[in-house]
Amino acid sequence: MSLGHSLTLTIPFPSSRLANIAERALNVDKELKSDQVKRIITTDDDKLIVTFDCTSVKMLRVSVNSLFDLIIMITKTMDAFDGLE
Amino acid sequence: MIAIGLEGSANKLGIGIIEHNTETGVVKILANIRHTHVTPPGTGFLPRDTAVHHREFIIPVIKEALETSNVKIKDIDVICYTKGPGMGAPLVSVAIVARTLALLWNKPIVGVNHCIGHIEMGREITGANNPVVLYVSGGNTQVIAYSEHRYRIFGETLDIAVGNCLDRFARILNLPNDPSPGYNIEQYAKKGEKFIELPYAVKGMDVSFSGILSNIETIANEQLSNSQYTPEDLCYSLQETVFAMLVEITERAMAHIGSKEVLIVGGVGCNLRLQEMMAQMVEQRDGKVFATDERFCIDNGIMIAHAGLLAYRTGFVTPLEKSTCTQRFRTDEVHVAWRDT
Repeated sequence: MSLGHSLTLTIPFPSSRLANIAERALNVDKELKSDQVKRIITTDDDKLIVTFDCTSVKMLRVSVNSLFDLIIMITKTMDAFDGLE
Repeated sequence: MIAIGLEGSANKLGIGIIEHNTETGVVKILANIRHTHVTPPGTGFLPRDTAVHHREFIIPVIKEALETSNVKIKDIDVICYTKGPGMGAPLVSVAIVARTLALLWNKPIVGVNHCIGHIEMGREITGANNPVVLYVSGGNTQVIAYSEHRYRIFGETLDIAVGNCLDRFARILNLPNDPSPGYNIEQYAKKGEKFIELPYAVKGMDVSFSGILSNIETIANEQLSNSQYTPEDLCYSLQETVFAMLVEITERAMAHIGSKEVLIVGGVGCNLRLQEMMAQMVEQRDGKVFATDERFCIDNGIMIAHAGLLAYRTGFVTPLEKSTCTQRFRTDEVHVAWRDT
C-alpha cells in the first residue's frame, strides 16, 4: 500500500558495473525513519533505480536530497579513482 | 601490508596510509593528510556543515595521500574507515567513499572504533607497552586500561567531554577556532596570573565538566566587564582545575592496576600543560608519561589505518553490507584480538 507521496529516480551510469557498485554502497545505510519513508534501491543494467514512498512531501524531499548527496559523492569517487593503477 | 584509513567523525577530515612489515613488526607511515573544518570565532561546528566540508575535500585529500605515499592501488591490502563514535552525517559522508573505493578496487573493508584508533596509534608512536590511557578530546573523556582482550573504561565524563568544555569556553571569550580553540586557550592560560576557584567535580572514578563550564561562564559575564579578572586568568584557572581532575582519576587508575605508564591520547592530549601536570604526578610514582604531538593526537586517518590493519591481520573484516556507521560505539565493545591477555 502506498504511503501517499512517491517518486522514482532513474540515474544512468557509464556501465552496469558502476551502477551495481552504487547500489551496493547505498544499500548499506537503512532509512532512519522506516515508518515514514520506504526506499528501494535496485539496478536495471547500467541504470540505478530508486523508488521512494513517503508519508509527507517533506519527508520525501529530505530523503531524496540526502540520497542525492551520497550519490554525488559516489560518482565523484568513481570519476577520481576508478581504474587508477 | 598496506592500509588506507579514512577518518571524519568530527571536524577533522583525515586520510592516512600505513605499512606494517609483518616479519619485522616495523610500522611505516606513508602519508598522513588532514583538512580541518574551521568555523568563525564564537561558533562551533555543526553536523550538517561538517559533512558538507568532508564531502568537498575528501577526493583531493585522498589524492594527496596517494601521491605522498607513492603506493600503487594494487599494493593496498585493506580500506579502513571510522565506524564511530562521532557525528552521524560526517561519518556517513566518509563511509560512503570508503565503500565505493572498496568496491571499485575490489578490496576488503574494516570498520574501526575511533577511540581504539587513538589508543593503538599512541602505543605505536610512543612505545608504551601496557599504559593507563587517558583519552581526552572534544567528544570523549575516558580513563582506560587493558585487560583480557578489551580496553576497559575505568572512569569517564558523566556529561560533556573536557575538550568540549574548553572549546565552548573559547567560544564565550570569542577566541579563534584556528588552529583549534584548545590551542588558543592554552596560549592564553600561559599569561594567566590570578587563580579563581572553580567547582572541582570528581565523582569516584568519573568526572563532570558541565557545571564548571556554567560556573566560569557566569564569572566571565560578571567579572570581565569590571576588569577584576582577565580572560587569561580565566583560561588559566579553567585549565588548572579540569586538568587536576583528570590527573587525579588517572592516578587512581594507575594504583588500581599497578601500572607505571600513562599514555595521553586525543586532541586535548597535545596540551603541554596537561602533559606537564601528568608528568609531575607520574614522577612521584616512579613512572613515565607518554604523549604524542598534534600529528597523532588530533584526529587523523593514520590511526584508523593502523588500528584497522591490526584487526585485519588477525583475520577481521567488515562485510560490506555491515559497513554502517554508529554515533555511539563504546571503547569496550571492541574485541582486541591483536594483543595478548
